[in-house]
Amino acid sequence: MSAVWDYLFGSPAFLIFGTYTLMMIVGLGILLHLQLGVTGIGNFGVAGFWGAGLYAFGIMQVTYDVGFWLALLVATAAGGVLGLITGWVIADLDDDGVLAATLAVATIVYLAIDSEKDITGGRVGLGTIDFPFDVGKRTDLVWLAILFGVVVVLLWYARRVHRSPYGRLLIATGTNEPLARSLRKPVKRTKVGVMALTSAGMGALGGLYGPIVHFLFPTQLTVAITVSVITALVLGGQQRPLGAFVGALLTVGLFDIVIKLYVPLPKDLLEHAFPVTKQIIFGALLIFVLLFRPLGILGRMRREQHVKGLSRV
Amino acid sequence: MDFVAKAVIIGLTEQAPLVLAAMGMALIYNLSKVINVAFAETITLGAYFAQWVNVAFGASFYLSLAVSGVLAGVLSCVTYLVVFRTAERRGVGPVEVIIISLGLSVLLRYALQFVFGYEARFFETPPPRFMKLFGVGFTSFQLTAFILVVALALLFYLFVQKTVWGRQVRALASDADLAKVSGINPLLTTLVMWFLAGAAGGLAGAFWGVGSSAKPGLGWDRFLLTLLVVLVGGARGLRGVILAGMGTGVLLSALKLEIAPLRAEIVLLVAFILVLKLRGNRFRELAKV
Repeated sequence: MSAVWDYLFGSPAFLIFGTYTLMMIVGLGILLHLQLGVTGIGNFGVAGFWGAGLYAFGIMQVTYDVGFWLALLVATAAGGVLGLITGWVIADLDDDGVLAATLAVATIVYLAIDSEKDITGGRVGLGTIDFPFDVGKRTDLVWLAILFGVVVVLLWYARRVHRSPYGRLLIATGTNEPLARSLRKPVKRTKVGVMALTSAGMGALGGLYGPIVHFLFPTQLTVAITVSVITALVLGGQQRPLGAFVGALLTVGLFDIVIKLYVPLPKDLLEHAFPVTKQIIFGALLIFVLLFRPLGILGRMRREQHVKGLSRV
Repeated sequence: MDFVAKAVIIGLTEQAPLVLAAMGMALIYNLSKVINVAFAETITLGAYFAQWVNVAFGASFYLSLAVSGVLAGVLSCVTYLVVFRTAERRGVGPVEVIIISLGLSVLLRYALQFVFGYEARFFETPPPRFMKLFGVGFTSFQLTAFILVVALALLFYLFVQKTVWGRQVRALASDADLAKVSGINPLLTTLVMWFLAGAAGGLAGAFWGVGSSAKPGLGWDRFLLTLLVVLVGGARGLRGVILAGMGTGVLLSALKLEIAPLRAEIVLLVAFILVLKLRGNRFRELAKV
């Protein structure tokens, strides 16, 4: 029994960090589900909105020595304002324009962090960011529980949205925008609103990630984060709130927790071939799922629940 | 005057491959209405192919350039047949096609590291001569590259605008059904176009690669700028793409002469976003080869 316990929890720090990453991808995936799966906005700059929150939090904590809650509020606002501006830009663009604009926003965030060294620390990094409390040896475990709670709240919110009149407005916008417009639905306002709200959530998640990594670098904001989130959501099912959770378990959970911690791979393989193979599989998954099972593992949106929601209005 | 001359010379010599890359991407965009994110990897692989021919076979850069163009063109056709044609046949939506192309891009970017290695690879070319024009220094190699890019861009333009194949490509882009009724073979014409697009991307990659090195992120680092040039310039056809590409190069170098390089890139991206916003969806309707 003790041997099994040691095998499973022998490296608690690595296990906790892997679970942090998993929770972060699930959280971002739920928010992307509201953008892409429900409203039809292909946000390819997830890392930018998340990174804006991460760095806003770090700058507030390290450069301006601001308390945790205010720093988290600023991180949320940073993501939200960026989402608001992006939403305004993309509101009347087609999918190609949305791709270009969201990618450009993420690139601008990255370049700004890299260039404004006096505030962000540039490539040297920004730190140290500590947990807002200290409960001894297992502070990281408590933080993980908090992060888990945040993800559960996000999941609850996404499910509520599906059943609400607001959710139907989002679904109408995402399913058939011209029809929604002809029915006098405020399509533009809806897109701007959903981008601002969900990006604020991404910013908040970025802020919550700060104490986990302690030190911030621009290289943490790579496109790999966006790819992981999109892969998890597409694999699990982009139309379902639980899609990101299922997809993240099968991708990040499998690679960053199970294989990394429990499969005895040689160090050299872990450093080079493993991350490369992981990305190859993510890329292949995106192609195969969208070609042969476009709605992912969980499939279509639960219309029956949606119709029940309609009857309540 | 001095400032303008500097901006023009630096912009055109440094960003000349951008015009080629944008022309390649615009060909695919205008015919297939697909923004192919994996085009970034066509650019990257163009650099790798050229470096491989140059170093492994001791070939001159110009010979490796030709081989690289052909190989990148073939790769482009294979990606069309295996991935994009399948997506087309299965009626995959536009956002999903973009995500598929993102997946293909990630797959290729990392798979090539198993083939070519994880480290950057360098070309073996003779040391260039340094020259000056209007007080601006550049290498003989940059000048040759610029002349070659201009010649290739002109060739591509003439091919699309003046030859039978080019007319078929444009006919297919304007009205696929009418083109089929007129006896145009859609698959063959589409393959010709994807080959040309891939070749243009591969050549751009080879030019960028020889200036620095062939590395996995080479194409991705330049993808966004290429995409923005296509979206903004594509509204005026290939001529628009060429002008937007050259204009972007000159504007970027002018900005870099005045402010820090990273800030210059931020200003350029903001300018592009504003142009996209101001034009809204109209550019899509205007976009014709």
